[in-house]
Formats: sequence, C-alpha cells, structure tokens
Amino acid sequence: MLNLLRKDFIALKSTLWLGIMFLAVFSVAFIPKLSSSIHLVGIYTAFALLNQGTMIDIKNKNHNFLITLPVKRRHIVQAKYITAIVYTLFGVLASFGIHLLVKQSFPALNKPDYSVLDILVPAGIVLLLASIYLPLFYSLSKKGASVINVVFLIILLALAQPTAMLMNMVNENGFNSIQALFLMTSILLLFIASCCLTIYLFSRKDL
Amino acid sequence: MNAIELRNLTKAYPQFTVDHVSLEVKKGFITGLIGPNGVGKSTLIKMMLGMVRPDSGSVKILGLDMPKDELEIKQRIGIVSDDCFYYEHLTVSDSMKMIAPFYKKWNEKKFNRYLEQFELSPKKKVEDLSKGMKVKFSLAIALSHEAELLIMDEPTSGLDPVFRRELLDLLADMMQDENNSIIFSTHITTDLDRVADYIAFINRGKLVFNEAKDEVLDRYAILKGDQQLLDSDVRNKFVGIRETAVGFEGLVDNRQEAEQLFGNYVVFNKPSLEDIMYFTAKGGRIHA
Amino acid sequence: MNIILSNSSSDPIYIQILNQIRQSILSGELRAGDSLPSIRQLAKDLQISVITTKRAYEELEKEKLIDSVAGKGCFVSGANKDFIREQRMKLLEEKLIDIIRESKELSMSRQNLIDHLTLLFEEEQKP
Repeated sequence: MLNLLRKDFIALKSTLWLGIMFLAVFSVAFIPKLSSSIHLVGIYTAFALLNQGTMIDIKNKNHNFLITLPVKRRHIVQAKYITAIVYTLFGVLASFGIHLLVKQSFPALNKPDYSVLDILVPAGIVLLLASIYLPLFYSLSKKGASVINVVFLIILLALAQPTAMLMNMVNENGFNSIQALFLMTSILLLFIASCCLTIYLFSRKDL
Repeated sequence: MNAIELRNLTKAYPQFTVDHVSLEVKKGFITGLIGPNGVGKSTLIKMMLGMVRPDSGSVKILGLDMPKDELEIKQRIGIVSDDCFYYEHLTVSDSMKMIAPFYKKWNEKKFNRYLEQFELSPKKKVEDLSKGMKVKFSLAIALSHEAELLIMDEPTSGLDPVFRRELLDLLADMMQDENNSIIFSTHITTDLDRVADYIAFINRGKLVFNEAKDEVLDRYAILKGDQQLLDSDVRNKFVGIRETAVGFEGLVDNRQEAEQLFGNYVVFNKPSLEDIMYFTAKGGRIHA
Repeated sequence: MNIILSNSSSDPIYIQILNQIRQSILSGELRAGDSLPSIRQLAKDLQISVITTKRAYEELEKEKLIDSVAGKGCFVSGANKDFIREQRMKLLEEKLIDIIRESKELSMSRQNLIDHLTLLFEEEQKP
C-alpha cells in the first residue's frame, strides 16, 4: 500500500511545487477580494491537486500499467482515496495558515476571525465532492473522464457563492458540537461508502 | 507442469467472440501466439493478466488460479506490451524507483546491467524514448525480478528488424533456464519462424491449433500447380487457394495426404507461419 | 565443432544437425568423452527451437553415438574404432545404393558403372 502511495507522489513529482503553485495562484486571486477566500483557496487547491493526480492516470493509461504490477485493484483505489484525504488536508490547512499570516500582516484587508469550522467545513466539502468524483473517474473511460472534469470545474466555479453563504450562516448561527460531529461523521461515512463503491466498480471493469 | 492453462475461456464482444478457447503454454518453452489482428489474441492475453474478466472459463498461471492468487502470480511474471504505459514525464530511473519496491525479488544489479546493455540512459524521460527503447525498458523491468514466465503482447510491432533479432537472443538467454517459459503474441510471424517451440494459432476467436512448430511446418504444405487441376472436390482439400492467371497456390493441412493425391503434378513447398496464417484467415478461394 | 544449417536443403533441420554431428564424431573431429553444447545453448546459437535440438540429440543417443548424463549434459560416447568403422560402412553402403539406383535410371550397365568407378578411383589416387 505504501508503494502505491509513494507511486502517486513520485508520479506527481512536482506535487509539492504544484500544490504551492495552486495555493499561490488561488490566494492571490481570492484573498484580496473575498471574505470567504479561506474556504475557496482550500477547496480549490485540494481539488486541483486531486484532479491533477487523476488526470495523469488517465493520460498515461496508468490503470493498464498498475494492473500488471503485483497489487490488488482494491488497494489501488484505497490508495487514491487516502491521497485525496492528504490533498484535502494540505489544501485546507495551508489555506488556513496563509490566511492567519495575511491577517497578521495585512490588517487592512479586514479578514474575519477564523475558527476550527473554517477548516472543517471546506474539508467536508472537498471530501463530499471527491466522494462523487472518484467513483465516476474510476468507472468511466478516457472520454468520460474529460467530461466529468469539465462538469466538476463548473461545479467548483458555481460553488463560490453558496460556500460563502453557507459559511456566513454557520458562523452566525454557530454550529453546536453535536451537529458538527454528526455532519463530519456522515461525510466520512459517505467517503468510505464511495470508496467501497469505487472498489466494486473498478474491480469489475474491463481494461 | 504448464506455465499457463486456459480452459474454455469465453468472452463476447460486439465484433467477435472468444469462443471456448483452451490453451496450454508448456513450461520451459517458447510458445508463439499468432493470428490476424482483431481476432482475440490480445483479449486472451488480457484475460491471462486479469485485465479483462472472461464470461466463463478458467485461467491458471504457474499452477495458481487467477484472479484468486493474482498477487503471487504477478510477482513471478514479467509483462511486455506494445502499449507502454509508464508515466511519460518520469525518467527511467524514477520509473524504476517507483516500480522496484513492488517486487520482492527485485534485482537492481540485473536491471542496471540491462540498462547498460540496451544503452538506456537512466536520466532520460520515458516520453523521450523511441518506441524500441520503450520496449527495451519494459523488457529490462520484466527481466529484473526473477520472473519465471514472460508474457509478451505484440512487443515487436513497430520495431526494426535489427532489434527484433536482438530480442530473440535475449529470449534465448532467458530460456537457458528450463524453468522459464515465454508466451509471445505477435502478427509478425517471422520472429517465431526461428525460435518458437510451440505455436498456437487463433483465428476468429477460436483456437485453430496448438502444436510444436516443427510439426506444424511439416504437416502443412504449400502446393503450386496448374489451375486445370482444380475441380470442386480438389478445392475442398485446401485450406485456402490463391488463383492467378499463371497458376494456383494453395495451403493444405495434411502434407502426406496431398502427396498421395497430387504426386508430381504440383510443386510442394514448406510453408512459413505467415503462409499458414494468410491462407487460413482468408479461407476458400482468393482471386489475385 | 561447427554446425552450419542450410535452408535450401530438403532435409529437416534436426536431420542436418544429426548428420553434421555424426560426421564430426565419425571423422574423429569429436573424440570420445568430448562434451557437446547443451540443447538449449545449441538452440540459442543456431536460433532454432529447443525441440529441434532435443530431437537431434535423441536420435544421436539412439545411434549410441552420444550419451546424456543427467545434470551434466551430453558427451560423445566412448565407442570403439570398430563400431565407428561399422557406422561409416553403413553410410557408405547407403551411398553406394544411391549410386546404383541413379546409374540404373541412366541406363548404365554394371560393367559401365564399374569402369566409371575405376577411372575415378585412379584419378583420386594421383598425387
């Protein structure tokens, strides 16, 4: 399993650079303008990384290659889901870190105060999107993958407003810990269910 | 023991069906899998590798069941394909770093020796390699983890004849150990004319024969003669006939019978595998 | 020992190998106890199937010209001079029979054939 994870990171050799680049680009684009930039930067960075990781697989017909290695298809999928979690954490935590810095250094921008929710909610959103994205990606062909990429691009763009509204609502009404726990647990369960579904679909796929 | 045992494999596609194919690849020998394009050769290989699930039938490799013992099987086999799937933007050495940890018996020294022998620079990106170099790279990887079985799917299409000859030497090296086996699927049969021990011929999703190459080449014969000799009874004796203005040329699958039938009225020639493939695939009457 | 295969020959490959190795043994080029290349090494050198080389060696073993020792390989058998001579006589007889047949097809009489033979024999004797 470790090998599979390592493979993803070697393959995305430039992953670290890519991550930082995405982070930089989205930060510069959103921080000055939007108050909910902390969420968007996190979500977009995380999803962009996930997208990169999966598109490289499609471009190189990597599933055909991976099958020739002594690995179970199940593990290939699980490794991808773990990578998705890693990307998510990277995206939201880095975004959080940057925003704290910015808040300190550029008080003029009037960034709001941040709480744990500003990490959890974006993370939840990314995991939710990934739960839908990954099964589609693993079961569709090359052409299908290009289509879903466009679809998700549109979804992400469209997300900007609703996310901002959601966060405002959350911050105003507060999220008591039971609700938060319930929501996080459901999303995690959804994520795991998605993983099982993807394993099922991928195991049956003819390459 | 058989290196590979396929029993009653069936897979239906819109264009053709692989129809209850049973095939053995004997241990210690090179088996060539021949047949025209699009008849199911690649599908059979994919079923051996677990890339495609058969509608029915069983696959056993090195005595183990696919897909149950998939992991152990894949530790012990090497795969070379005409579609090299590695990450294009990685270098040769990065690719190796990615692949090597998966194999328990990875032999780094061997791999480096092959790189030297094939003149592959570790620092070169996979996407910058020529097709021939990519196949050599595949081969280096396939041969560096003590694989007992080499499964090759059209490895030489698109390669120049010089390298194809070198490949035969490499395969012969591997076969010095009688525990090793090779299955080599190709439509370039001249490669197999020389070194194959057994030939399995697939046509239209069915297995036509799976025999020792020498026996096949002795059993089949090309007959050339006067068109006047051909009437409907005679035509039935042929697998395929090609008629021209200056005579006919045909394939029979029973040389002895043909010798008794035709005697000195025709010229007998030893066929090549390509002849066998051509006339069988065409079948019936071919007008030039 | 050299083995040179010809694809214009009407003999199957294993027969060509058989003949050439037999020739080497009978001519003394290969001596009793000399080792032969393994069937796989030979197959590699000649770029042919290992089944072919195996068949050739099996025939040689049947003619008692070689012995195969498990785990060690194949060796020229320690046949004595008489036996080799006997083998060569057999081959000579086969050739003579071919000559006689051919002469019959050419409608030569026995005396004609003997005269021819004597003529050529004497030419061969000349230094």
